[in-house]
Amino acid sequence: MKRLTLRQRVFVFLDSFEKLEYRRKIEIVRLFSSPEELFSGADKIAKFFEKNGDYNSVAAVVEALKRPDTADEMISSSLAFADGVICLGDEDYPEELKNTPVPPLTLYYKGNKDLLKSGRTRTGMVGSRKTLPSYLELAKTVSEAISSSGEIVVTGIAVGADTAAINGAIKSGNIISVFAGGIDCVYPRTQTNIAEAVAENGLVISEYPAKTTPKNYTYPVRNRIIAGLSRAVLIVSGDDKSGARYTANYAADYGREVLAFPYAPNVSYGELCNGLIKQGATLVENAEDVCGILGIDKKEKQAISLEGNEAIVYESINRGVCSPDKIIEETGLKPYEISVAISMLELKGAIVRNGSEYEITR
Amino acid sequence: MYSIKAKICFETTIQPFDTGEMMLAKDVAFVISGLDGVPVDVEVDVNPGLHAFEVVGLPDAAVKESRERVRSAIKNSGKKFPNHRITVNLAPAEPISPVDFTRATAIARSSIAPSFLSSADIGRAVLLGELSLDGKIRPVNGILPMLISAKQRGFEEVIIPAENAKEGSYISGITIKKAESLKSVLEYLEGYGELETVEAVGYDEISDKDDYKNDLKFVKGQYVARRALEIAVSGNHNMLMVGPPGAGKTMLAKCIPSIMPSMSFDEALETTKIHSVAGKLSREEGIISKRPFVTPHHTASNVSIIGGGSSAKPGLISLAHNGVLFLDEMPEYTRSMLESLRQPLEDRVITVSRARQTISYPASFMLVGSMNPCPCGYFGAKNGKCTCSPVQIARYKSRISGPLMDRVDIRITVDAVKYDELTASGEEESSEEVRKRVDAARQIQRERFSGDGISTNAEMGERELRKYCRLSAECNEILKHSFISLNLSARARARIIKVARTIADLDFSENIEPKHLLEAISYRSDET
Repeated sequence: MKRLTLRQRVFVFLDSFEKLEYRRKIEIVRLFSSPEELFSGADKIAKFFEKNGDYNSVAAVVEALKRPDTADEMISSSLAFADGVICLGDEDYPEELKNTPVPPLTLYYKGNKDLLKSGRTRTGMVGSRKTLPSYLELAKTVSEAISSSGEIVVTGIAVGADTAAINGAIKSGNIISVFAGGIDCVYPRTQTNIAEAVAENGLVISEYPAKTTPKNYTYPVRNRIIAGLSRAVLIVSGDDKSGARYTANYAADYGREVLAFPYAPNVSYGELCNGLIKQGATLVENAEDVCGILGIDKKEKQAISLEGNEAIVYESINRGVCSPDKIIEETGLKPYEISVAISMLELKGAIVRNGSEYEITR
Repeated sequence: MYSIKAKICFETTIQPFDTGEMMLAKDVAFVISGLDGVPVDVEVDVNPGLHAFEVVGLPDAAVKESRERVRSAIKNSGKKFPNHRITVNLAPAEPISPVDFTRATAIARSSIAPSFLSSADIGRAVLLGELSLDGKIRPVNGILPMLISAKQRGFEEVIIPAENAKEGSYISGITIKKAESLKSVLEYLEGYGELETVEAVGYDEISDKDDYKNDLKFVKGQYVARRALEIAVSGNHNMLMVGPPGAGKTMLAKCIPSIMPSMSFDEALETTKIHSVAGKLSREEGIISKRPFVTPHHTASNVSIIGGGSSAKPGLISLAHNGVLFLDEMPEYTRSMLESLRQPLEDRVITVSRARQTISYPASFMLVGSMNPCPCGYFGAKNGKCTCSPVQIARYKSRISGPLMDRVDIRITVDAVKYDELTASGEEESSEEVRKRVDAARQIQRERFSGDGISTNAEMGERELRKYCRLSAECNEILKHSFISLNLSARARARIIKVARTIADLDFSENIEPKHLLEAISYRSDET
């Protein structure tokens, strides 16, 4: 069994009641002056809540407290898969998160817990699962740029923008992935390998005990942690229904910087970013912009040298003529010449493939 | 499938019976096993005695029914059935035991015929066909392989049903007569009638007539796809087209046979044999001179596609031999069906094993698949939103397994053509022009691989890759770089090099140059 302080045991124990509300947990903890009392205070809890008329909500807690073995079992099963926990009030609980209105009581973690230290600076990066490939590339570049200079990237574990952010930061290990369920419940399941890599190199955290499956309502709740941990949040993409909207709202509420990539009009999954910019979010176009705002030194992006047909094709794609067939029609180049130029541009990292079209990496 | 090798004559000529002398006739019949005609010994003994007609050697009760056909056919040809005791033995019983009802009928029929012969004349002519009650001779399946088999065994003359004449006209070196009815055959064999000889037709005469319904000149736009088709056909690379509904994937695929090199006579015979055995041969054409284009529906059963059934019939992949197997909306096919394609794609032959027999059918086809990028078709599209969840998309894509994708060398994305382009006048380059380049590239490959037992770039293994696809330092650098920046798998390497080799062949280049490699990279089949 992992070593927990008695105080932590209290929080983990209360966490294992999935239906127990956040404020009930606070109320229960406040009834007692020390953790020892709580484990022998079943009667006190019962009496208090009977008086306040909501005994049913804590009935399970009272039952469990009457059987000490059960309580131990519950605690150890909640801790499965975790390296440990950090509880509200612990010394190493991140300061930024503590200052939010509803800080999580417990953070179950696996990986490098130093990333949660109060002195470190963190930036959230979130976006849609269907982010366009060019923006994924951009997100990865930004993530790589900021993480390599010590900034910690905070994101989720979904495909799309989250994965791009993870891929950019995994090399430096400055990556925190916040789960919407227990840290053993990777969703979608296909992300298991990535989740393992994050736990290995960076840190995986969640406010839920093991075996808690993520529900659709836990995602917005989780997003407050991403916003709470970060000094700035970069919105990569999103539409009206995107969860990234919640993250942006939380960040704004907590007084954190909100950054967003700009999109052309009517581009799918770009609406949220443009909307945020209209409301006053900071427009960022590249890693340099983000580094500038965060006050990070970053090397100048190397200019790509283009030769012959490459320049023609690059210029066409830059103007929005993105499919090879259209470039052929416009420039009169032969199909094989186009294919050669496109491959070369791809290898140079100047463009990226998106279905049948190509896009400039910004 | 049915064969009568016999001379048939009248009851009146069978003198020995009247004298009560015993008469034994021995003969050979052909049945189809796999793609070959297999000889079956037929022994007929005619004894004086009460009227009887027995067939032994075959367990199948259905065979015995054929006796009635023979009796009626002979009667309705104006002859009289002999009033004697007739015993027919078929040997060996083994190879004919799995034959179906009609085949068995034919064997029984063929076995009856010699019993009316003057024994001296048995042996020279092979008669193939099925008897109807009124004495007409009906066409049968598998004429071509049986003719080839008969020729190999040294028979000089074959009489075939008139309706199978086209099919028979491509075999030279053996006299082929066509017959409408049993009566005309009898007259011919008696010596006072003539049968029309089937004139041998030169294969070149028909193979030159290329009237493919689909031609690349009708395909508007789609320059990259056209180029990819040309490369795929030149190197016989399997290919996958990804694009939204209505992009023209199917139309492009249908043009593939029109740019494939013309079939050689041997190839045509091989393909025709399979179609003949499967009963899929058109009586008017007689030979498959155009590359087959087979499009199984995605609800087709595995057996119908791979081959099988109790008589181990060839499946659609064998019918596509030397041609194209097109799987439209590939992820809609069952996983087990797609997986079962792996082995024939590798070995170019499919072995169908059933309890009673194991038969290998050739199945060398070019696999062309099409699919949408996601179930709703709009994933990755800039405008128009995809309504599929990421899990749905992943599941859709995963229906085509990695090992199967490994056998697909070229993958292209096809985009919808605008209305203006569709209605624009003027024609694009025709299939004929493209085919000239394909032919040239194939010729280079044939010469290169003459000692390796393969004929196209797609068939190259590790040994050939090392031998013929040496990369310059510059090319190696590009390939190495592409692996890192495009996140390619190790398996993609061989595929890219093979395709680059084909592009170099189309360019008449001895070595693979950077531009060939770069173009090949743009057709990579890895999903990024």
